[in-house]
Amino acid sequence: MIPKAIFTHMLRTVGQTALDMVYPPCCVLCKVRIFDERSAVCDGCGSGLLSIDAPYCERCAQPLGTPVASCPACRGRTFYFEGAFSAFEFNRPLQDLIHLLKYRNRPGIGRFLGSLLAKRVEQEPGIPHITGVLPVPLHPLRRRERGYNQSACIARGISDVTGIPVLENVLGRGRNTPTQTSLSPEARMANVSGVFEVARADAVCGATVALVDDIFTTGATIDSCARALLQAGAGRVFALTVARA
Amino acid sequence: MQRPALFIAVCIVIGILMGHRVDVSPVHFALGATAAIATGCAVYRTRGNDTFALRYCMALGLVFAGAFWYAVQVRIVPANDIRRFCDQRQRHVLTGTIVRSPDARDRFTLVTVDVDAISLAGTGRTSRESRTRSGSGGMASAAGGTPATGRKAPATGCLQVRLTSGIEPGRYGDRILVSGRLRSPQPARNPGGFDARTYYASRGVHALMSVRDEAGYRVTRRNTSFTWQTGVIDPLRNSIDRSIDRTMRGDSAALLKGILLGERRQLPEDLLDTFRTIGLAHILAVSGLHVGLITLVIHTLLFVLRLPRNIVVAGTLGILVLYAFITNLTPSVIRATIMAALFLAGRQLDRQTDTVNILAVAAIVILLIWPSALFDLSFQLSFLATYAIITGYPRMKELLPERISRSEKWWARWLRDGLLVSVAAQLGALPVVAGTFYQVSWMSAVANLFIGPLVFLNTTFGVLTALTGPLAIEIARLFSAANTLVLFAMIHLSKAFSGAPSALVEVPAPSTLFFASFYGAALLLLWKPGGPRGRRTRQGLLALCLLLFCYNLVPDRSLRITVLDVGQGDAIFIACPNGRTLLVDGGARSPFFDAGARVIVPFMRAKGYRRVDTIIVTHPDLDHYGGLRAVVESVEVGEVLSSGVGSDSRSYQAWREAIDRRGIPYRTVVKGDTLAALGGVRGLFLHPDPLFLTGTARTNTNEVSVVLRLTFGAFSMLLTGDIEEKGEAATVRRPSSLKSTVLKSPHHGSRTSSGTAFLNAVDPEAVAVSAGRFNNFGHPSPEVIERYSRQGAEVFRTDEGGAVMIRSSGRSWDMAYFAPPEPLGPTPGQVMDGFLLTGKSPRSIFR
Repeated sequence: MIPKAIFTHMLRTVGQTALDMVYPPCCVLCKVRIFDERSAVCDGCGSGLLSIDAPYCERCAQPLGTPVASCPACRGRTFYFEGAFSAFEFNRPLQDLIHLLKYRNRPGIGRFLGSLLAKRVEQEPGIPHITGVLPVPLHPLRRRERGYNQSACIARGISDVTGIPVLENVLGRGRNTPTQTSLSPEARMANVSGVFEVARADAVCGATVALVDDIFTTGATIDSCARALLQAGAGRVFALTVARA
Repeated sequence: MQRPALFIAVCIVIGILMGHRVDVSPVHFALGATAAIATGCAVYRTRGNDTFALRYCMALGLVFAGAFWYAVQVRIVPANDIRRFCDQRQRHVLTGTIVRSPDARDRFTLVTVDVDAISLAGTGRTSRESRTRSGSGGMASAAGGTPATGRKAPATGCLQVRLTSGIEPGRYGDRILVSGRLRSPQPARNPGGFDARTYYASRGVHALMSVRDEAGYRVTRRNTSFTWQTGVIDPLRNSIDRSIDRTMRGDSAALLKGILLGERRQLPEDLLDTFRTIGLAHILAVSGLHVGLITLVIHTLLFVLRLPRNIVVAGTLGILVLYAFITNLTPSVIRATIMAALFLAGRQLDRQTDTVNILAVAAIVILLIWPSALFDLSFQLSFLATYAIITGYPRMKELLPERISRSEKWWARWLRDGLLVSVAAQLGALPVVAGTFYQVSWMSAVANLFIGPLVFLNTTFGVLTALTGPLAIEIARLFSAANTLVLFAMIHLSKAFSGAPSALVEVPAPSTLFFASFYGAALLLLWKPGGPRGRRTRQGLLALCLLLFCYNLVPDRSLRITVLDVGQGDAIFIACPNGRTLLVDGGARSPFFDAGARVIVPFMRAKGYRRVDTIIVTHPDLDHYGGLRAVVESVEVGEVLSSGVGSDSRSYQAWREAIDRRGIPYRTVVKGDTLAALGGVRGLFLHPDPLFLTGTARTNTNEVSVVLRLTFGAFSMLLTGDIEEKGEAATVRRPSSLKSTVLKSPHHGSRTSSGTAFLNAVDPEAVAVSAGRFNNFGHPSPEVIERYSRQGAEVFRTDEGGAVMIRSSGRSWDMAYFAPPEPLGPTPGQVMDGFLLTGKSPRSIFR
């Protein structure tokens, strides 16, 4: 009689092997076979991601050539979130990865990027202890079409590494707004203002939380979320994004 | 490994080829596989994962496993399989179940029956008598289980019955009772012939039967239970059929059915020919292209409805599976459906999909279920073309100038992608197409540019018609109206294309060497080596392929004589070292069988002979000149030689008219005449003597047959027509000139010929006997065969091994059958017994 645990393990190994035969894991960018289950890209393509190192603006995560007093990107703007951090510059390989994540039905890439982001966040002294990560929500219609929320995938990746719980369904998106990509900075802000609402205020009351999204461009989306959270009674809100455009 | 499934698939394919070629008991393959796998385990234990040795063992194990699987399925014939009852004089009564929806054609219906019981019927006469006695229930006694003449025994195997139209065939799942003579599908008996055995075997059919009158076929029990086929697939197919019929008419409806359902029955022959000429017949056989288009259409349709992704995928998959069943599960459709399913599943599972790997998975699945599919044309073309497109298209795109390959303008993409994809597919399938049809269309790439988008529109509108038809015929009519326009454009475009000069190029069947060098070079061109060493290897191998390729083009400088199997009759094709060709006799012609059109012309196409320089008619008997009419009508002929003896029969006059109409010179030869300019081959006529012609022997035309002796260096062959005692006696007068290496047996090996004196004079080392299988004359006579053996001559009979092929370089010669006789496979029990007792496969029992 085989113990149940061993049996399920065997079954899983066989299933995994069969799956790997049909879909051999390979780099999503250059299709080279990879053997690390959790990785989405090969070492070569992985090295193409440019990480944002200090000095960078602690408010809007903009990388700065030299330490300057006021960041040119967010000068004169106020954010509801307290600080922002982005892991990588928005260069070609990352752009391709995020495109695959959002439009090519590859949620696994989100998880992978989330884990990379988490590893960077853990080394950053500027970010305090966070008790929950909140993905920027999609409108239910959009979510149903896409099948998943890419930000939630990234958040889950962060949770995988750090163990911080993902607070899903806390934030909601009331209106289905057009995509931000083609809008001017001013229009972006107007587009998303007041779109988000907190569904479960008790989950964030007084807590230090991080908002997670794929790209930080003007910060309008995240700022709108942060505002809703603070209004619902959240203590401190930080913004974590994979890329800084 | 980059593509694990590709590795496995290639090993299995090699294994199946091995199982096909190497004729040993499956037990040996099983032992080989076990040994390889055991070694692999040992290697894994000692050396660990991912070593070359481990991979080698795995490959070997898979190859043997593939061979074993193929051999088990194909070589072992169950004891009571219907194959063992084929080609006998008795009639059999069989009962079974219809396993495919009957295929109604113009004049007959094909019914595939899974047989479960067999019994010996009485002779044809008794069955007819019983019918007259008990009216329509003539087979009642047989159906009762105990026919008067035989015991009912369980049987296995699939039988295809060809029912003359008018007999009610029944439907899928019905139980039927059928009686008649079982025939086995025959492998090709001549080069260029149709290999019915492989064709039917790849469809799972191992026996054939023709039923012409109602007494031989009866549905004994209707299928009333719900089955997948009768409850789901047939109604769906009928519904689509009806939707199309109710909204369209004429050629457009027929063409749409061809495109959407692969149904060619209603398609006019000339339209089909048009599509063949421009090399686009594949769009009329449901293939991967269609599955891809249907996937696209359905997926888009469901997506536009804003359904959740899971439901879109599940819905698309469901419809694809239904579509595969509706179109009769051909290998190419199965391939495409598996690939589409894996693609969609991969996206749902968030896995990267590698197209080649998925193609290989599809191959593995099909070959595991159905190993002999490897020899199915649809399977071969589908996989070759798909692989060529997947790998060849991007590679060819790289070779283009940057400006063209990167251009995103719609017309640039249309022109570039359209051309590259069809050229890639065409190249991938080229040798197989050439080897099957002996003609290649160079038009298809260009025609595809215009017809391809139309097919897309057709499919889209067709799917919409099929979906809306049952709900609202008015809307379906709308789609059909649009479709009619598209189909109209398509018919006219394809006709315009087919008008291009020599759109079809005739090519000889490619040799094995050609296959090897072609695909070898193709794979090498696709391979992108990493280092300089790899590049050098690649160049070296490419050069080797080129060399092999050129070797192919070197003309054959030997004398090749083929004694064709034309059934009862003679037809001997001779290709001389300098390329000149002779045809001695041409087999028979009857309303059922024309040796010229069915055997000689296909043989010439396959071998690439475009012209016969000299036709020699030995004597005016139908089984010697009948098929020649088709030859002079379809290939170029230089001259016709004969003894000058004619016949008054109508068909002989028709043959002479055919020569005269073509203006082919007709000459008479007599003893002493010679054939010249044959590239070192000398031909000398030994018979008939002019004196002999005027003698009494004129009453028997056989005796005045032309006798020709060909010599080429040390090799010689005596062609004797149908001479009998008197003719032989006449030629034996100068015995020194008769001595030959190979003798074409006079008069099909009849008892009245091949006298001892004659045989002593010829003293052949080998004899080729041209006689029909199961002929009514008892040719060749066992007595004569005995005489040949006593003379020490090896005997080759066309009735046993198909065409006899003789080749001589002038110094040496060899002789072989085209289709060597093969015994039936052993039973599973005998495999085990034979192995345990002797260590050898016991196949010889079944000779």
